[in-house]
Amino acid sequence: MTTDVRESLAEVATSARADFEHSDPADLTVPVMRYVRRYRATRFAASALGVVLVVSGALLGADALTSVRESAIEPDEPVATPVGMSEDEATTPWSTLALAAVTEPRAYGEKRIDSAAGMICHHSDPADDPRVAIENQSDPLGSELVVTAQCAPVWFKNGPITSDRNATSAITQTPASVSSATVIGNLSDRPLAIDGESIFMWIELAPGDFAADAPTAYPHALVGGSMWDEQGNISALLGSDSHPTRIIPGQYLVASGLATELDGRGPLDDLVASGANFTVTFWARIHEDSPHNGSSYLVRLGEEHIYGGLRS
Amino acid sequence: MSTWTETLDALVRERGSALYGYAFVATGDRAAASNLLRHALSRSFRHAPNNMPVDAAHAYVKREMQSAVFAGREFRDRRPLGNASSAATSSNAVHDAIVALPARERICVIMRVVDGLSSNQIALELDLDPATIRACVAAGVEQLAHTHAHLGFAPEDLDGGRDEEVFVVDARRRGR
Repeated sequence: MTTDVRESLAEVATSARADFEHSDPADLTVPVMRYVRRYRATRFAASALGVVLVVSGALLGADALTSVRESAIEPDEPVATPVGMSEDEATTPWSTLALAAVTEPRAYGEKRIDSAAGMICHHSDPADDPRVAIENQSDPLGSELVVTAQCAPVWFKNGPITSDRNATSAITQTPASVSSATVIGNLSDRPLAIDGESIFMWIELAPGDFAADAPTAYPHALVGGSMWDEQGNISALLGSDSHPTRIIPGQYLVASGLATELDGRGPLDDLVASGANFTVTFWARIHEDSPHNGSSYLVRLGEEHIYGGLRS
Repeated sequence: MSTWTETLDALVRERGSALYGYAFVATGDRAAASNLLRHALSRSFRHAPNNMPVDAAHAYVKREMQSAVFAGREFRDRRPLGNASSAATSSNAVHDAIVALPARERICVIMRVVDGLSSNQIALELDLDPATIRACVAAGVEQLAHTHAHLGFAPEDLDGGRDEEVFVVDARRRGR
């Protein structure tokens, strides 16, 4: 009987093999290569991030970063697969298609603990996608391009929710500048892949003033009255990067931004001179070669923080 | 020296159909077979060195498939490879009976029958205790004999015999 069983299964295998011969090998190799490249790049990035965090921790003397260092350096294997998910799902970053499926409208002032705040920016002309222009930049310190867009505020229900800690901000008077940094953790059950160059901070001086003037764009920062306009849209800065930066559940990313007023007077001068409070949030664009509908999906990194101004 | 991408290309080109055939036998579903193979290739090439021989890559990928099935992973949510018009499942009664087994028992029976491995050899491949494999094979064969008696499955046909062979355990692997 064993021989009969073996022959039957061999028949089945032969039939399947014939089926495979009619397929395009690229259907198999392309996604595998993409996955493997991302996996290897993430391991490299995780090592680099570990070095950065060790240096940061040493400089700050921060015991609080101990767990960050450990979690960033040690796991080179994916963390345990969450219950109810396949391993593929647990290691595949959030895609814009997956986010589109859990998108819900977001109103000003609304707070949720089960959703990630985000925005979706539709591009009427794909050629306007700043990704193309930014990829041609060779500045090792990052792109200086400042491309803004009007985007729809959304929630990603049960999406890439992030936490933050050790959030801090500093201002200087001459030249007028505002810097901020925070340690971002991924609370969701799958990796968050973002364009590293797309991280920017929104500095709001009057968050509830929907009639405020349009914000001023700096590299990696938007400064203005409110990120919301009267139509309920949000202004966003669309930086981009050809390589993803992944935040794996259980690991952390240091997000930082610096806006400096170098050309005469501007809103940063006014902010510093006023001594008023200001609100800072960090945002980043989901990395994907072909995002859903060609739109830019942005997700908020951590929570919003209100800082006090400097009175001279 | 060949890079891992060249090895992957060569593996899919030369052995892809054989691996896919094995995946289909193990899953009984075209989409699941495609995804099982993608999963195994991805896992195998994450740490693959350059210049890895195709034979070695083939063995790694096959072992990843076997381990994934044994672990009960599901791979039914993506697009299958191959001719879209062909049947998604086989119409072979023996295969249907084996596919109906729970994942662990199924892959143990397949490794026994298709690969001709003893329980000890299966245990070595999957890095598991031989007693676990013997229990899996026995349970699988017993279930086949019970639910598909008309197909003529009998425990003495599928189990026993091979385990009596002299078998050298690779201490390096067992010691991992």
